[in-house]
Amino acid sequence: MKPLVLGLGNDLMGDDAVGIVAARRLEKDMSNMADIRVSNEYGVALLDYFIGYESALVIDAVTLDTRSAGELIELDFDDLRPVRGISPHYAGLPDLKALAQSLGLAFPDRVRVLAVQIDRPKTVSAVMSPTVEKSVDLLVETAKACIIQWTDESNDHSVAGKAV
Amino acid sequence: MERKITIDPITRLEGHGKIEILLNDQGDVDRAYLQIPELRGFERFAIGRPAEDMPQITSRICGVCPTAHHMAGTKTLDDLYHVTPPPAALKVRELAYTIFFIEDHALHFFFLAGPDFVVGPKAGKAERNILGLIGKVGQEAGLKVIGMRRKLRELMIQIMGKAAHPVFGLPGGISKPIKPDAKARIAAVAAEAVEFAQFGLKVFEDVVLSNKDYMNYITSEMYTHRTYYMGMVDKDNKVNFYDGLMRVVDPDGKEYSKFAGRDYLANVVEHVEPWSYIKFPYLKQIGWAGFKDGADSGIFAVAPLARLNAASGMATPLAQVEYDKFMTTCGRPVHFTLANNWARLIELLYAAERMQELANDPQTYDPEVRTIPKETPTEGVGIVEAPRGTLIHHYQTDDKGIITKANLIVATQNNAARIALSVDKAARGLISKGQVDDGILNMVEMAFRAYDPCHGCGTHALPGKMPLMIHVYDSRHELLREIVRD
Repeated sequence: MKPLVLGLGNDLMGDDAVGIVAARRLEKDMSNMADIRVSNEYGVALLDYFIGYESALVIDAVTLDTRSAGELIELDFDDLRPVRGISPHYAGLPDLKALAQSLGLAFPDRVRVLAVQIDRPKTVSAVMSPTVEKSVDLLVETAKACIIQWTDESNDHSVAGKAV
Repeated sequence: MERKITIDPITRLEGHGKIEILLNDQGDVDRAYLQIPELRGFERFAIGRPAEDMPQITSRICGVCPTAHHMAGTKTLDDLYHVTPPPAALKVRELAYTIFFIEDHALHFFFLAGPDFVVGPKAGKAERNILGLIGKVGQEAGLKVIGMRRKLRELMIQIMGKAAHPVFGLPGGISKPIKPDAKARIAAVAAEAVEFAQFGLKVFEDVVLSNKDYMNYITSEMYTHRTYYMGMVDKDNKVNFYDGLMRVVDPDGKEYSKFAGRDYLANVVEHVEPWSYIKFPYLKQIGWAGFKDGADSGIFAVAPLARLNAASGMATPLAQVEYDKFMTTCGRPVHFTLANNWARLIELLYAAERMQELANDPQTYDPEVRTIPKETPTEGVGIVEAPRGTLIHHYQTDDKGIITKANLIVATQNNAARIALSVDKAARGLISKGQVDDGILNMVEMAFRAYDPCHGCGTHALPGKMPLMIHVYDSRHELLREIVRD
């Protein structure tokens, strides 16, 4: 099964477009190896995208106090904290997984997040800042490597399964 | 000693907002404010861009109500280019819009308001969420909600190109017709949506209407305001989401005015307060009398409760039965803010029935869906009823169709003054002698959550991001304590 690649953001909010822009570039090269989707939705509304996949790569923008603009941050599912108890609109990935499990729906076993630190998340603009724009190449290449790795592992697993 | 409690941002609310509650020396509420701290600038962003881009641009204002902006923008383009779409285009637009309404109203009731009522307004924060809701109503009901949303979103993609950002609205029509072979699927989902809406009303009846404590909350004075109400109506004064005249009723439920979208500036003006970016629309002929209700205050409400009050009924039979029950139970007009949740479910049923009517109408599948504009664009106004209330788009262009001025009055703006009243009144009614706990703060939040407000925040939640803090300050505004909800 192909992995899901989900680019998140708003392409009219300047730097917040970085996940969308990267996903669209991946669509050109990697759509034979992954299902590429983009969305500016958030929270529970994203649940539908994940259901039925074994692996999911989320590409997004972040604003962390300790990072510099343009920096690439890689997170595995275990790095993420639940925000349960706050709001379905603010639900994070652990919350979506908990919701899916409570409903008996298949949520990806393997989730990784690639995010770029951005500067101005609330600036209305159709273009990204030069610093974040420069980070797109690395974001795309890192995402490609992840997709290829997952595909190879999946093929190895499949071959091993046949050998047995 | 004055204490200051800050809730920022508001939980279970589309977009960021902040509630500030100022306590006096006795620990009672001096004044409570709902502040909107963000300035979005979309209207400025629109200037210099082709008008045809507006349905796409404005649909990105936030990830929650894109279809309403897309539809208001599309209707504005019709007016701007002086063009009337073919009947099939109007029916497809309305069909798509009812599908969006069902999905959105279902999300609000089951995911946002549901935890308040079904799990309980005073339940612990760890339970007062969708997982708690599923724990109460069962896995089967949870799957029903998720499954219905998925089917509706599939149809939205089929009809509008995308679920999150529709791309089908054009001046004079839509980009493509619906093929007749899609009819069976759309009609089947519509029938299921009617059953789903009835299921929602049954849950509300079983859990809320039969619970004396909840009904006491709904009808309590602290959640009550006697204001004007505005909503779109058809030729028979029945609720309509897509097209019609704007009707305003006074606090006694009598018709005060009725006007076409183009005349909105003669009827609605905006008041500005220094403590909020949001403007406060009021009825021009009545005037601004401050944050007070009553017939001499121009404050009005929009959204489900207001729409039902402003209309004389619903245009579909099952929804009309529920409308009569609603008015009989609550008294006409209904001034109880929390009754918005009941009104929303009645609208959900109307939307599902209307979807069914349009799905079974052969004209919906007519291939003629575009009238090509031939006139020079000038100025256009488009109004729709968004799930959260009346949404107004107004564009002016040069003769090449480039935007020179844009004005948007979104639903939450139209409700802003009444929401401010609600937050203040609920805080005064609930907080006494400095006693403030999580359950009380949630009940203050319920006062505005009932409006399903949307502050148009385009940012999405980052995994692990903590969106709620409570700050307590002394009279010198020095931080006494910080509560982080996590």
